Amino acid sequence: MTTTLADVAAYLPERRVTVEDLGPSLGLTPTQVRVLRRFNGLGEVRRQRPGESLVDLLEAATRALPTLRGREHLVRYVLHARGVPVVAPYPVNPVHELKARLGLDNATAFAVTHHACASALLAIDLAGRLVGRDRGALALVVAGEQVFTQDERLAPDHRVFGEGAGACLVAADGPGDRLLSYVADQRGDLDHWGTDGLGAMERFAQEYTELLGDVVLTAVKQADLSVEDLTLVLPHNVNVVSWRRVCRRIGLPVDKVLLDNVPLAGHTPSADTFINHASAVALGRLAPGEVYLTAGAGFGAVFSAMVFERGVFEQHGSGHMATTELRTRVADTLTVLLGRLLGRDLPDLSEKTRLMDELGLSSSRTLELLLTLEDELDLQVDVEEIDRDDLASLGSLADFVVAHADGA
Amino acid sequence: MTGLTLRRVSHRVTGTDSELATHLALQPYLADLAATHGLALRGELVGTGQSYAELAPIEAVTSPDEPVDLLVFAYGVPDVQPGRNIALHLASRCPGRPLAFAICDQGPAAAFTALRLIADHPCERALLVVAEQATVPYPLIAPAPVPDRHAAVALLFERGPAPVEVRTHAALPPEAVAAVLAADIAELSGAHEAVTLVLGSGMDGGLDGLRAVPGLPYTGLWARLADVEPGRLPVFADYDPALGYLCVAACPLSVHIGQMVLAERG
Repeated sequence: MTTTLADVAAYLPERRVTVEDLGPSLGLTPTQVRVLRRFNGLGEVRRQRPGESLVDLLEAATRALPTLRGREHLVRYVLHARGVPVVAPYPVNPVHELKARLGLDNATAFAVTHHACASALLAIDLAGRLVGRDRGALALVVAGEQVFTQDERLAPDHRVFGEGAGACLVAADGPGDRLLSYVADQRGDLDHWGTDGLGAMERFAQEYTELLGDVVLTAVKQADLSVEDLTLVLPHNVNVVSWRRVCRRIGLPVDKVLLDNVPLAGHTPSADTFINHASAVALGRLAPGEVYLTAGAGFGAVFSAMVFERGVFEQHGSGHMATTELRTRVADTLTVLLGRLLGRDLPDLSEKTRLMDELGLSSSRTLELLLTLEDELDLQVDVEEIDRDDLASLGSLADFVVAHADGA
Repeated sequence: MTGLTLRRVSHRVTGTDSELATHLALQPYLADLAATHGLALRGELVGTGQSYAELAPIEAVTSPDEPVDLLVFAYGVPDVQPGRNIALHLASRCPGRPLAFAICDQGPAAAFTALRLIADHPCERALLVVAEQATVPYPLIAPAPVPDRHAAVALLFERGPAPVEVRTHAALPPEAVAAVLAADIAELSGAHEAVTLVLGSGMDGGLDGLRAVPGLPYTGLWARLADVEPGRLPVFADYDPALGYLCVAACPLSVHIGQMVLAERG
């Protein structure tokens, strides 16, 4: 029996808020905001729209799991991994509401917490233990929180919380990413809620690089590997600069850490592993047989790392995940392809350029463009729902592709 | 699955509030939490409540020469400091610096899930800690158990010859409980001639056995395991009509059960 990620998906709300917009509410000066962007590599975060709930967030990630449908009866456990221990007034129960929405009536559902922003790693490990005793069973692990309070804005001068969610199906065997090791280093003496709160936070900051670096090395060693064997590291998206320090300390090339989402999504309390996993797949940075590590840390304090061997997947879930990266690639590629298709330079091409009215493309030639794009980016676009509005401009076509792409 | 026996139990109950309940950061946090569902704080309860980190009787069931490998903390009613990672704090007070985490959002079934996870985890010693407090500083928007005092119970398990059995039945309507419970009791009792039934506060009357300490819906059942006579097998059960879980478990008592401690009850 080996804990296996049989399916992974993530979801980011579409509403974007820049660090400049957030600055005043976080009590930051304009200079501190500049430091956030220039030094820490933070840019914007995602937030739900008013009226949307935590269960909406978790459901969106879960619905993006392509292999869940039809296998609901195999899901015996639903675990909500939470970086924030309490997210709703008692007895409001998001994980049971999610279970009901998904029709997972016979599953046992609960929340796993007190591992701060590394709670998702813990939940995966526990899910693996549970299904290991239950042949053929699946566990659904979901992660994600809303940003609802000041306490989640702790240390806003070097991190900003965003909203996002992740989901995965955990099995005891079969196809998927195989868990090779899991290490959690707990430091309850750095608990900032205790009597020496400020002192604990200061020591946490001082020891952070060493403790996170050490847990990465320990996890790699426990998997009988070395840092050189890692193809990719899926980080918690706290900021760019702290990862550079960790990389220097343990001899890990920084380009092996997928930091693309730090400026685009910020740090979600527990879903970063899933969000970065979905992005890594979208970017083609995970190939079967390769070894990757995911790591996280949080106040309280805890430092955790997990090593996986990448498996073979038939489908991938992405939800609205990785749409930023994918959309950029789609729009850039469409620009190149349009020039090629029309046989001329298009210096004034923009997202607003109207494909038919301005460039004179017919519907059929636009669809031809779409097919070439599929080949170029090695993805498939479900065109069943495409209509004339989607073909109106370069921007609308890019939006449609991102929303209907599979295997990107 | 590791075989386990129950070695020690300690239950601490108090009506006194923690000084941490008056922490300056707390009121804005609780107000934000309540506001997520359109609720306002109950002013008369602000500044009251108990801290599970202070209440959990870790030291009463552990000793420095007996390192613990795993600590699982279960709760329903949130701690007076709802943002605090209590399990990490408890682990730092526990010999062996065990892997520690919390299970919640499952009502009284969370403690059974915690026991199941302990049973799944190879270890020499493990701690189950369950806690509850009487302060819920906003109106309840759905029926749920609320204790009338603050309490925490710690149970020390050690490796033993027989596996712990934990059965959790989800989505069970009240009318189905009696039959499922009877079948589980029969199966879990097996060939044991001396079985003591311990019933949680969610169980109806009509069955012979020890009853949970009144007014303590989360810890009251687990505390009563200390009252099972040595040599008898405790089979314990609870039902939560709100979430629909019936949980039934059996765990042998340690042959060292004479060392069990029951501290500060009441």
